[in-house]
Amino acid sequence: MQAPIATLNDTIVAPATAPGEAAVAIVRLSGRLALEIGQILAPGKRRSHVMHRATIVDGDGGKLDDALVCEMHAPRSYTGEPVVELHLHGARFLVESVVARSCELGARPAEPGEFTLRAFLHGRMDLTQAEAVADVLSAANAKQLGHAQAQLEGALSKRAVAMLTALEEVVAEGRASFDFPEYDTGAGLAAEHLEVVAGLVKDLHVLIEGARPEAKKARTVVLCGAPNVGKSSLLNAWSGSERVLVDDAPGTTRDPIEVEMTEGLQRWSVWDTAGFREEAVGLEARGIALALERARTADLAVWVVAPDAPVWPPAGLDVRVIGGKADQASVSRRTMLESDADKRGFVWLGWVSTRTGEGVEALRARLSRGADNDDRAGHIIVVRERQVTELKDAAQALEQALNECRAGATVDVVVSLLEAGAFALGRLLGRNVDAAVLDRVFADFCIGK
Amino acid sequence: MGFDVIVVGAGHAGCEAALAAARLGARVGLVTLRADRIAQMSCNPAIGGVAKGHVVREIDALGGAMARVADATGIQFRRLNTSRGAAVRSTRAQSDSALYRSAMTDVIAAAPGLSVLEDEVVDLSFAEGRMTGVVMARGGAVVCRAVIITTGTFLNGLCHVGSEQFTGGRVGDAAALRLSSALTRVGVSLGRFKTGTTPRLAADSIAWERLEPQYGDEPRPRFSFDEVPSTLRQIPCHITSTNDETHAIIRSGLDRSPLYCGTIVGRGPRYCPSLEDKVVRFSDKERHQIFLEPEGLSSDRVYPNGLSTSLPKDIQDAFLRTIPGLENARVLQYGYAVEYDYAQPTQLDARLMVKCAPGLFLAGQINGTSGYEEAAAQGLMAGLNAVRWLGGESPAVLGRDQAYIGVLIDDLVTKGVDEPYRLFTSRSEHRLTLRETNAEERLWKVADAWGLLSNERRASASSRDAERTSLRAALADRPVDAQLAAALIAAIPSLTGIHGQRLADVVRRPEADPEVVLRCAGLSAPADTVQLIDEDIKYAGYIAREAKQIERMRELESFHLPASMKYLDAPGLSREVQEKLAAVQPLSLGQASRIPGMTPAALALLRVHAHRATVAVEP
Repeated sequence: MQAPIATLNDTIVAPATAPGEAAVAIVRLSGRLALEIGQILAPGKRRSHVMHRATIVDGDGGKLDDALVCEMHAPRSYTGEPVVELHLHGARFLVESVVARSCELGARPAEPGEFTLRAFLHGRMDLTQAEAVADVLSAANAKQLGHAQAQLEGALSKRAVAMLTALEEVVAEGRASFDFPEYDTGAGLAAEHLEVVAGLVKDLHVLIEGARPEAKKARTVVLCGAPNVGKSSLLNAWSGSERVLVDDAPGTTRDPIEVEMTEGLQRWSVWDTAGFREEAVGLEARGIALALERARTADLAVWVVAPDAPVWPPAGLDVRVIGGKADQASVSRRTMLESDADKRGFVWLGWVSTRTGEGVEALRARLSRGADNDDRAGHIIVVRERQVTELKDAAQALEQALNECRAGATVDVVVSLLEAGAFALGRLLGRNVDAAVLDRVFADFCIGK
Repeated sequence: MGFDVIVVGAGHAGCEAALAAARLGARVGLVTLRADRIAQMSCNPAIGGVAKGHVVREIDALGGAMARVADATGIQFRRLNTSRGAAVRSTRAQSDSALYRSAMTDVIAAAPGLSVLEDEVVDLSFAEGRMTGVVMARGGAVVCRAVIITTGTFLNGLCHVGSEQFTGGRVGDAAALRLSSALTRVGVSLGRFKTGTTPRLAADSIAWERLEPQYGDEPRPRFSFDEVPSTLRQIPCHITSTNDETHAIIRSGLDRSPLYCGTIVGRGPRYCPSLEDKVVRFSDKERHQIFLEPEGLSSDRVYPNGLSTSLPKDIQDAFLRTIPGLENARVLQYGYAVEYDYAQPTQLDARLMVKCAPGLFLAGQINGTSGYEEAAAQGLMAGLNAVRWLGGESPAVLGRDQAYIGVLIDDLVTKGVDEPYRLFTSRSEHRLTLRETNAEERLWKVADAWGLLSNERRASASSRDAERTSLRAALADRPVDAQLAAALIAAIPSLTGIHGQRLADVVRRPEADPEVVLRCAGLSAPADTVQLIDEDIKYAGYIAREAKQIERMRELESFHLPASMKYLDAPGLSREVQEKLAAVQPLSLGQASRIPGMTPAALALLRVHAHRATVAVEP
């Protein structure tokens, strides 16, 4: 793949809506030739930012579609370049024809994330906002969406810009102290400036400690235990759909099966595995071996025991234990099983019944506890590893500056460390970052955004 | 009569340019309006200061003359910023300006292959795309192959005192009125800057006994890495300050200040403001400090540093009377502003050669800089490059990570200037690396490779290098045994836990005075070497961090932009960016990124464009 950054000069085209049959599909063009191509595809006099009805024509002048067309002239467009949006009827064939025709006319298909990359390069948004675009698109629940939208609107960048501005003022004071010694500027930074830096360190730590970079990576939970204890039913109950085949006959699940879920900002990847039987042989034994392997590498392994004839995990397997089929367990049975688990040294996570719904939500809540440890309104939660790294770099440089200053270091050293902090904050916003960083950031975008 | 190189102007830039070119074996003609005003200090009688001191040391390391002449003729030496850290410590000296002038004149006279021509260059001869000579007012046409223009404030110089105006490069000297149009004819476009100077006062009219003296430092700091003998008496400066009354008088005269009534069109320096500027811009400040600097041991003239002004004479007289110690001061020469032509330095390449006029070099204040040191540094590099260019050799360019001179020239040719440019330590992103103490270590080998060092200088530089190497090795290798640990702790009680460490680890401790450590270990080295190595060891961690940060930008710096780039046809770039790139012709993406107005989008486009241009020339 040609790196998108390398071809900023081209005009790009892509469907902006998901592939497949739909009521409406949008094809978007951006770049130098976008307006000209738009005019050939759908001739007509149009004003910027106004939706116009137009006929889309093919190469021979034949009518392809009756569509709505919107031009957005530079720089007031998403990318900062001339942009044309063609709102077509949602036939796949139409979308493909319009994209193909655009390419004949000088455009080329957009790479993933290329529209947003251009928006960043043309200064329409900073890097944290560009990253938020990807997060908005992949949001799976209201919480993720809200968070990503806040960041897209600049929650993080405004905070970073404010911090950077405050820091640059301190740096300027520090530089003045050695560049203008004739102006009685003192030997170093004044207490008030150091307080500003200490305040920034605090702010940075709030962001770092509230950060959840792991939320972007799925936490893996493996459900394991004897056959027919209700592992697959539990997974279906959690995901709210029949994702895994369930049958009364034991051994229905052979290969580990993954179901993706989100809880708050956290992505979860929950695995259902083959039922554990000591005496299994052949294919079944291989399935069980896979299940145990999965359990060993998971962030969390949950062993399900049934109230009748409980099967306990093999020795050395690090698991938490729950009781399945709670609707079939009497009070005394429950007490016995719980104390048995305790004696064996397992953490007991509770009872669940997919038939009555008992404990299903409670267990889910318990598993995701700590995932959203700070839910205050307006709180910025950094979820990108890259952003956390830059925040940590900034905090570390500023802390070192304060420490060195307290230890009696001279102002030249202190200012140099403060400058390093400012540099890291600049990188957070996408200033002074090299092509490799940008390619990484925009690599996980979908096409058409 | 023919020369390889003609240098026009014998100020601080011209002298270093002529000397460097002559040292490389060129036949050099140094043209000056007055041979008795070579290396004249037109403004304050001082050399060095913050960042400028660094540059003077770098000039010395590159075999230049400024440091040695300043050492020989200084009458007060101080180190600035001593409490602000090793990286920003700078040397500054008051000079006996008459002695400075005559000492530099002697250096010029002694240089083989260098002739001084007292004349005025009025035209440039340019044929077949390169310089072929100059035309002098009296001497007529002179053939040469390269020309270095170092005319300072003399190009179309116009002096202002209040509403009075007269042409002149400085008070008492004629301006160069015809060279500007010659430059314009070869394609150099000129702008207008201004700068000001203070009134000069009669020493015997100042009430010295009522003023606070400021003495030089002992032991005497110096610029040159070689010891230059000087037996000159050292004298103090004195400090006084302005007050409310002074400011009121200045405000009353603003309508007759050429600065404020619009007579002067050129832009003035923000960093070396006139008194009227200071009073207007810092109206909340009750006083401004003034340093009374004698112009020499036998001079009756005093330079009141901080009183730069172009107000009318009566206002100058009136405000001086309000200043403690100056109540009866007699003015020997009134303060004035000078307006002059400068060439936007983005017209130059990194050699300081005019891009549209091969063989024509510009150096010093004509490039929009201020300061003797900035001028001298450019002169040296222009002289060096003129000869290299004549010999078909590669450009001699110092990196931003190598020298303040590199920072200076890169800033000039990349960013251009919109006010007179002065160096600061904050202009360097390599501040902890570029110290006064290590200027020679940074530069002597490259200076030698360029042929700038005399045999004697090479020998002394090389012996200092050996001293550094052996001291470093001794500190790195020598383990601290029980006996040495005891001796060290006896001298510096807080040095616990050093037994078994290396001596360098001990020096790294903030409280370890390196001289004491060396004495305990039975080692010795010259004080300069000890200081440099002490800084290197104590700053090692910070310097590594600075280097790491710079490493992150290395990709841009090493991305070479071919000279064949056609910026004006580069699609996707705005006209403004196209024109800036075409004017600057950056050598690397890093240099391009420093051009004001470059956006991330423009840089990304440039990357592709360069890639295509490179691919296109390869078969």
